[in-house]
Amino acid sequence: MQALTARDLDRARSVMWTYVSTGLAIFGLMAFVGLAMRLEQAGWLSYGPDIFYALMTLHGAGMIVAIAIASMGGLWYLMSLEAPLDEGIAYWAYALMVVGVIGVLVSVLGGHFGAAWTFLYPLPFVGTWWPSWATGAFLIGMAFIMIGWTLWCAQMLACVLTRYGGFRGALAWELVFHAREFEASGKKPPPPQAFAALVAAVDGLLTGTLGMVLGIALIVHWLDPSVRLDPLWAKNLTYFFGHSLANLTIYMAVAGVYVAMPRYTRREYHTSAALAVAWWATLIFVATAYFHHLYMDFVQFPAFQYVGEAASYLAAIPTAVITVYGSLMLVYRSQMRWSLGSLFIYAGLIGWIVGGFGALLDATIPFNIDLHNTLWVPGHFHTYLLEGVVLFVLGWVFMMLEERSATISPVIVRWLVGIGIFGGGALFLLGFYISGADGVPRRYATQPAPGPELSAWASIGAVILLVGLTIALVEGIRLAAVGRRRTT
Amino acid sequence: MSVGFLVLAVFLIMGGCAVAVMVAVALTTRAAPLPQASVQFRGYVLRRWWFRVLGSAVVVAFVISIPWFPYPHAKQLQAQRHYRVVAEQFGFQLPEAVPLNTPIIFDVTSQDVNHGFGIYDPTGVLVSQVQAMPDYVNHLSVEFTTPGRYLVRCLEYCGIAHANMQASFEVK
Amino acid sequence: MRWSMLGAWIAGTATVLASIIPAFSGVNEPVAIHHLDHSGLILGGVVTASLAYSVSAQDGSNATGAWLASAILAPIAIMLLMWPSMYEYLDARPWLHAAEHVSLAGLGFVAAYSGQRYARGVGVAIGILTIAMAAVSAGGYGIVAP
Repeated sequence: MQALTARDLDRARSVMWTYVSTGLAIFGLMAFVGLAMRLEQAGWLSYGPDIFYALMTLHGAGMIVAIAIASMGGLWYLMSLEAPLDEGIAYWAYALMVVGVIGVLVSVLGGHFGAAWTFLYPLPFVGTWWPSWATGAFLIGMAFIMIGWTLWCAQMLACVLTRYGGFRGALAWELVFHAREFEASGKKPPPPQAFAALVAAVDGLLTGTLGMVLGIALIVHWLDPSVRLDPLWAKNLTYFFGHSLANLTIYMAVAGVYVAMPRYTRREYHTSAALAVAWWATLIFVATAYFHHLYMDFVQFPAFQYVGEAASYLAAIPTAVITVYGSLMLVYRSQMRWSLGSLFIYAGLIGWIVGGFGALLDATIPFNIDLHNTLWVPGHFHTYLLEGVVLFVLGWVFMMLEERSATISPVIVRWLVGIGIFGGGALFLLGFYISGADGVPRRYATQPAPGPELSAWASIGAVILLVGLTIALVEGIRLAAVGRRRTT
Repeated sequence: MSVGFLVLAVFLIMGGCAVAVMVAVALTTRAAPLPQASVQFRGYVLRRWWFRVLGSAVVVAFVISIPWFPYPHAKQLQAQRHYRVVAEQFGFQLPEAVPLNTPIIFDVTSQDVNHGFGIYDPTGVLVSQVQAMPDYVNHLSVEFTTPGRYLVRCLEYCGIAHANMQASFEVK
Repeated sequence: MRWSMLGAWIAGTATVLASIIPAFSGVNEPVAIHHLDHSGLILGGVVTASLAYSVSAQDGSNATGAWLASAILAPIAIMLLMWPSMYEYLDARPWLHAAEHVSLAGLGFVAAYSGQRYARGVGVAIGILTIAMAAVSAGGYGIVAP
């Protein structure tokens, strides 16, 4: 493999920072949108359900795209260190996604499109209080996002297949089934982060493809309402696309964990047969767990319900046994440097585990009867997205800033950020979990008791969390400035 | 204790244990560092056990959960009395009353968009739910053992008045 | 390589014939079955492309963006060619219907071949997904109002 030149590295970093900064900027804006929603539910703001549901739609779509873009940027950079990647394709994918985001913004802010980011057929077309053009703008915007996503996934697939020798090489087939011969040959398997790229690429292409089928179907119906669609079919596609995309953001961000943890602990992390098999399992379970969104659709083919619960449970095993346990083995009695970067990454693992528990409980069908579409649902996914993926991304960003500036943040800054993000975060998230346990429905602009009181506490938690994130932002800017001075 | 709060208790205990383990491991970095090879030697042995325990727990949990799946069997559909529920923006067409201590089937559908048929008992606890879908009928089997007024809320986002979409029926 | 060349010609010819003949058969099929027929035609295009690619002995290192763009746009074009409002119009015009079928198969070829030219293996993946898109569509369309 050709060694990367300094120019190649600069170009790769530019792609990474473009993606990551855009993702984090959208995340920041969407965080304030989320706060506005909780304040409405607490009764501290009163702008009405039409605005609430438009903001809810924006928040959902915006957040998923934000964390996806940020994770995509980090993973793209890591894979560009493995094989030369055409940054033109990365920028095209980025541009398509940004155009899509603009479409979504126009539809929501200009038209008050409020069908939620799940746009569950036939809701975008029935009983609407927004103009028809806003539906079109949203759907076409999502289509652009899907095309950009598919382009990125195809490039990732090309990278792993070309670099590691087809599907067999990318899967480390020989390492798993012919270990002695493989090791004797002196060949090296793909590094751990390449498995994240493979899974994101394959499941991502599947997500993009089926997302396009749904998107085009909805656009067809928008333009020609006489074309009816099967609602169960649409629901399956909606949740396959939505679940898989959200789930894949975690696995893309995990690539950063695989690289950052060894650096911080000054230990090695290599691909083993166990790691390879864990990612094969992840490849399958990410795509099949989505059935857990349709547990309460009793008309669904019964076998799918069983598959949904089984896949949801089994998806926890590779995470717990390989990634989390592997990270613990790296940290245990190591020379770990505890900086903001490493704290974010480690805390992200905690967020992922805790959110995962919430998910596993909700994915248990007898419990789902009591939790489905209550606030438990946003409780669990906010936990592993906000206190998982976002922290992984922040950890990666701070690791790069710390390396460039050759410095770490003062203890007081680490404490303030920690209290903000974890203290505030815990209060914010408990609001969801307790409300959900008490049967308070999700997506209610006006909640029954004890929703408003818990929303009030959650809003306080969200404000504290935002303060913590703001301190982290300021510290990040400071480290960047130190780094610039050091390298110029 | 309702199922929801039982699940919350389990969640908080599991979460607390996980946080404790993670913090405990993090605190080991204050002690003298060990070579990676010696950590790996014991660590891989422990990992095998962790995999076996977790794998077994997953299988057991899955098997235990199956008898409580809410999907009615053909015999239930034939034997039990049916009550039609139609959801529409923004109300429910419901029976006025249903019998106490008798297994019944709600045949739930929608006139327009997806709704959720969520049943709350007289103390405000969510006891059962099913989706109300257009073009399809979902059959929800329930047996009410407490008399009184039951509230129905929409549990699938359905439009601007989603939060106000509710109805009630008597169990007697 | 000779067998691959022969295979590509056979697959291509069979696909074109399968695209044209049914359009003149006058058989009235449910929409769902028709979508599955389309996925069969796309499968023919993808198989032909895979065999044709192996004949061309490319090593998959010509990873230009143009090939990738073509591989991504072709499936979208396939979806747009199956626009439901056109069904009746096409059914009444067998030659146009046949042309649509040939185009679907041709675009399946383009999707798979372009993907393979971009990077070996990508075309196979995109080809399979394109077939899946058409097959999955069978489950959603053709719903009649109650």
